[in-house]
This record gives sequence, C-alpha cells and structure tokens, in this order.
Amino acid sequence: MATQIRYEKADVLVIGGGLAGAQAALAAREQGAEVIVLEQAHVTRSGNAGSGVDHTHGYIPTVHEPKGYRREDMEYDKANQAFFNLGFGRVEFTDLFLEHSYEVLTGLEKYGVKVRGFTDSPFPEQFRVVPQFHTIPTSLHIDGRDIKVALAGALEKAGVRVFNRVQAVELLKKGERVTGAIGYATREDALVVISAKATILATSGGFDRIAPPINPGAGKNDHPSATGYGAGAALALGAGAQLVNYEFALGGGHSAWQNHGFMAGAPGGTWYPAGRVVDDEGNVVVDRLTVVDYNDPDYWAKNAEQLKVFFQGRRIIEEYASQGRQLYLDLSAATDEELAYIKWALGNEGEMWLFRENLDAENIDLRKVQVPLAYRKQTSVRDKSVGLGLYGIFTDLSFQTNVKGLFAAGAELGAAGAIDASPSLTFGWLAGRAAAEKLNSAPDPGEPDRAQVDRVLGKVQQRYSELLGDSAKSVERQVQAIVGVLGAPPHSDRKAHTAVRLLEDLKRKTRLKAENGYEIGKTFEAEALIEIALAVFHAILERKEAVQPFYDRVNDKGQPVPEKAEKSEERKILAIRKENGGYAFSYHQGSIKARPEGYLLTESATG
Amino acid sequence: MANIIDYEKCIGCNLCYERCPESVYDLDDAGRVYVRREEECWLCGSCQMDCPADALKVKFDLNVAPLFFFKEPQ
Repeated sequence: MATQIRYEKADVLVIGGGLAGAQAALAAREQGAEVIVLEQAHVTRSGNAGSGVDHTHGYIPTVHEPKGYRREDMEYDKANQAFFNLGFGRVEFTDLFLEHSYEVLTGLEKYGVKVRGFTDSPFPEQFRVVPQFHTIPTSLHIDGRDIKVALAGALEKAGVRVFNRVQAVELLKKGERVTGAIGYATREDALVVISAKATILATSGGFDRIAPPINPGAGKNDHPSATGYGAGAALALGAGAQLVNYEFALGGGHSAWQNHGFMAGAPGGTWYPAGRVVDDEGNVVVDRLTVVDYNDPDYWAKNAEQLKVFFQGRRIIEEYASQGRQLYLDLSAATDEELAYIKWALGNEGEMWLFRENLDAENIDLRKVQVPLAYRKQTSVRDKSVGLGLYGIFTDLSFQTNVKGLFAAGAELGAAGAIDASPSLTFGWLAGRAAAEKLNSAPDPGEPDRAQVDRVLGKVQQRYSELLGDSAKSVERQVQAIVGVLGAPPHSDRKAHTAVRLLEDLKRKTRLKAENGYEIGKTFEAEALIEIALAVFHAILERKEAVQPFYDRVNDKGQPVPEKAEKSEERKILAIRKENGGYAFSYHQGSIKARPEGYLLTESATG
Repeated sequence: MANIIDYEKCIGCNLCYERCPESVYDLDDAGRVYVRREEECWLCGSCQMDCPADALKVKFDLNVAPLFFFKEPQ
C-alpha cells in the first residue's frame, strides 16, 4: 500500500466533531480564525449526540428566577449531585456553564433546533420542563434528533473545513508546544498532517471500550458513543498533558444501570409522564413522577417532593436488585396523549429512535408489555453521579491544558462536572472562543517535524506488511480482559502492579496488523486503549488511600486500607502525565460548594 | 439483528455509507453500498433515519436480544 501524506494548515484545529467540537469550531470561526475539524466518523451523525438529544438542562432565568431559584441555588444543587462535594471536581466549571447555558441553548435555534416554543407548555417561553432528575429537577425536553445535522450545516455555512473519516493519531509537538496533529484518513489511506496555532481536544471519553457494558450495542454503560475510545486522553498523555481522576475511572465511574439507554431515566425522564416501576406481580414499586404546575405557589417545595420520590425509588430499586428480584418498567396506565408524548421524546433520544421504529414495525403497544430493568451494582456511589466528567483532561478555566497550544472541551474534560449535552455545547463554545482569543500571541506552528510524521507512516506500513500479527480486535479484547479482572474494586497494589505488567507485556509483544484503512484506524485505537488502561492502573498505584464512598482499597493481606483524608476539603485531585518515558504525578485542590440549608436537594441528594 | 438494504428502493445516494459512525456499510467494486460489518453496528439508527428512499432498516428482534425482551403484564 502506498499511503499518501497531505499537509494542511489552520489557526485552530479541533479534534472531534461532536457537540463540543462543532461548537468550538463555530466559536473560533466567529472570531475570524481559520478552523479545521478532524472527525473520525462523519460530522452529520457523529459523537454522543449523533442520533439525537432528547433532553438537556441549564439555568433558564425566565423559568427559574420568578420562582426565587437563583443561579447560585442551581450551582449548589449540581455540586451536590456530582462529585464536587467529594472533593474531586472544580465547581467553577459549573458556574461557567450556568452563566452561559441559556445563551448557548437558545443559540441552537439559529441552527434550526427547537428548544422552546412548544405550544402545549405552560412554562415561560414554552420550554418543555420535565422531571429528569439525574441533572437537575428542571430538565428540558428539546426537539433534538437532528441536532448534529443542524450543527454540520452551520459548520459548512460558516466556512469551517471539516475532514470526515480522519482519526487523530498523534499530536505534533515543537519544543514544549503542541503545533497541530497527525491524522489518518481511513477511507483514503492517507496521513493528514495539520499544523495549527491552537489545538482543541473535543473527543469523547472511551471507557465503554476498555470496560464494556454487559449488553454492548443495545445498552451502553452511559452516554459515550461506541466510537469514542478515549482518543483525546491518549493524545493528551502522549503530549505531556495531565489527566485527572483516572484512579476512579473503573468501578466508581460507571452507571449502575446497565441498560441505561433502555431505561431512559425511568421513572420520569423519557418515560415521563407515565413510566412507573413494577415487580413480578405487577405491584407498583416506584410510582410515576409528575411535572409540578408552574403556577402553583408551592412550586419548588412540590418539585423537591418529586425529587425525593425519585431518590427513594432508586433506593427501592437497589434493594430489590440486591435481593435478586426483577423489576419492570410499566406504562400500562398511560393515556393515548401520554404515549404520544413518550414516543416523541424517544424519537429524539439517540438510539431510542431506532427502538421506537422497531416497536412500531412490530405493532407493539408499550402499554401491553413490561420492560425488564437490568441492574448490576458496580459502585456504592448511590445518588452521587460520578461518571460523566469525573475523569479526563485537566485544564484551567479557559480550557487550556498544561501544554501550550493545547486545549480541551466536552466529555473528555476531567473534574469539570457532569458533562452531558448542554455542558458539552457550552464548554465547546467557550473553549473555541478562548483558543481563538489567544491566537494573536501564539507563535506560528512552522513546519511539522518530519521525523515524527515518518514514524507514524512507518507504523502504518509495518501494519500493512504484518501477515501473522495481532488484529486490533484481539488486542482490544486483551485490554478488556485485564481491566475486567484486575480493575474491579477493591483496588490494591498487587492487582494494579499485575495489570501494569500485563499491559506493558501486551504493548511490547503486540504486532498489530491491518489489511485496509479501516483496520489501520482500529490499530491506532487499540494502541490508545492500552495507554489509557496503563494510565488508570498507574493512577491506582499512586493513590494509596481509600476514598469513600466509591474507591475501596485493600493491602497485600486483603485488609481494607483506611482513608487518609475523610473530609472533602482535605482531599486532592490526582493528575497523571507522562514525563521522560515514565509517569509523573501532581495534586490539585478541588473546590467544595457546601450546601446551606433550605435549597431544593438538601435532604435527598446527600442521603 | 440485521441491517437490511432494499435494493429495489435504494437510489444509490450512499448516505448510509457516508455517515455510519462505525463503517458498517462499504461500497462494492461497482460503487454500490452493501452491509460489510454488521457486527460493528451499535443501533444508533442514523442510516435508517437519514435514508431518503426508505430503503434501509436496522431490525432487531425485540424478544430475543438480551435486554429487549418483554413480559406480558399479569
């Protein structure tokens, strides 16, 4: 195979064309920057939002202010629901998000995404407010099935150059500065070398790939798409940037619900207004949730009641699961109108659209079936949703990493709060703007390092010529096996050392092979998965103490290791980076936003 | 599950090949789309969603797939 090399230049290079990447590109373009987006799939349907976003959230002054619910109150509520109050996040990112969320959400309308103006809604500006309690009690349903189609159109219109089917495989470096990236175009069999003054990592976290869910395909662990393999984390590591909270990425970092997509936030959420949970005999175990009348004088108090029902429900479900009992989502009491609403919401929620289409194709009436909820308790985190946004790339508040010229945004950010759709959109936008604003003081990237390009080219050629080597898939499975056996809590030095040894062995012995561009792309993914898994186990080795409630450790005799810092304020965020061929560690102070009495989530979220 | 292309309806726009995040579809020597890597499909539904000719269906058996099974209410 004669792999071609193509050279390109831009002011800002955005790696990843999902919600965050598209927004980053649009924001940088608006500042006058020449922008290139690298997208490993196709920007029209790529990323976690590729086939839709049904709900999102933010601080909506017109909805929240009249009820006396201030932005600060929402900051407390979000801090309490995420891991900030455990000491492992920076709540300043939530402040940033809430400051800009209204502007960013309603800004989607200019691309043709309907976020308000639903004529059946009694809420201000006709937002569809719903009880989707995993973020805040006032989530919003939006008409978001084609959000990526809309953003792709906006990118084209704005003159952003989008390179689809190009996978970023290494960041270019000049001295201490990132000066772009080397991409591999899987359908052209070409290296695309892009020099840029600023590079933004807007990729997706990829833990589904090293620790796959029990039902891959139909029930993802959490939101990250199956194409996300942690490219950004691997690229960041390779360039010397810091990753944080990686020791928590296994066990503590996964949703306890294994069929997340399928349960769709039951009860409430997508199954609002009629979803409830029943046992084998049909007894209602968790009742449906209701949207409180906006004009009710006790609006917030009643909302808080609903939230309690929700958290109580989660605990009941957990209890049933621990007894090995099966529970079901039940929609038997839904009215025609409610069912129509549910189907509309399902149609916007990513792969649930396809589920709905298949239901309809077989004429299945959701009222006449019960859907089993699959539950596997992986974590003792309970109500604290520590998954999304816990581990990832560490940046300052202008999304700049510790490496000059390198920024990060979106789901790959670490210690920055639960990063679902609207924080991705917001952080993407802010990161793009921040990168563009620094262009004037950024040096010209100059010519790329030919030796680095040749090294990557050599890898590609080697893999084509390897006849009896290892397929990327087999390497991926070995990583999964190592992580599956040695990555489950409780953690210990012994297990982590073994894992590191096995992964280093795998790295050394593997001779990746490929027959076409698609497979070459997969070999780069396999390499990245090994690097990410190594970072996780090195971080586990570094954090010697237990961290309750979600990071259990035992010593070599199998006895529990105590906590060093029991108070959130004393805990530190652990950062790992590569340095001189090894790993280096540093600690950062998180920020705590302790809740004063009287706000919405006080009792329920801490219980 | 199965990714099924109805070639009588297919207009050859290749949108499914162009957009599929996992390269489930490929083009044959004649430039016609076919299902190459069905096992990589994770049911995002984009191909079916965007097919302008209604020529593509991603079907999964709701009663057999591990979590897509149903129980009649009692």
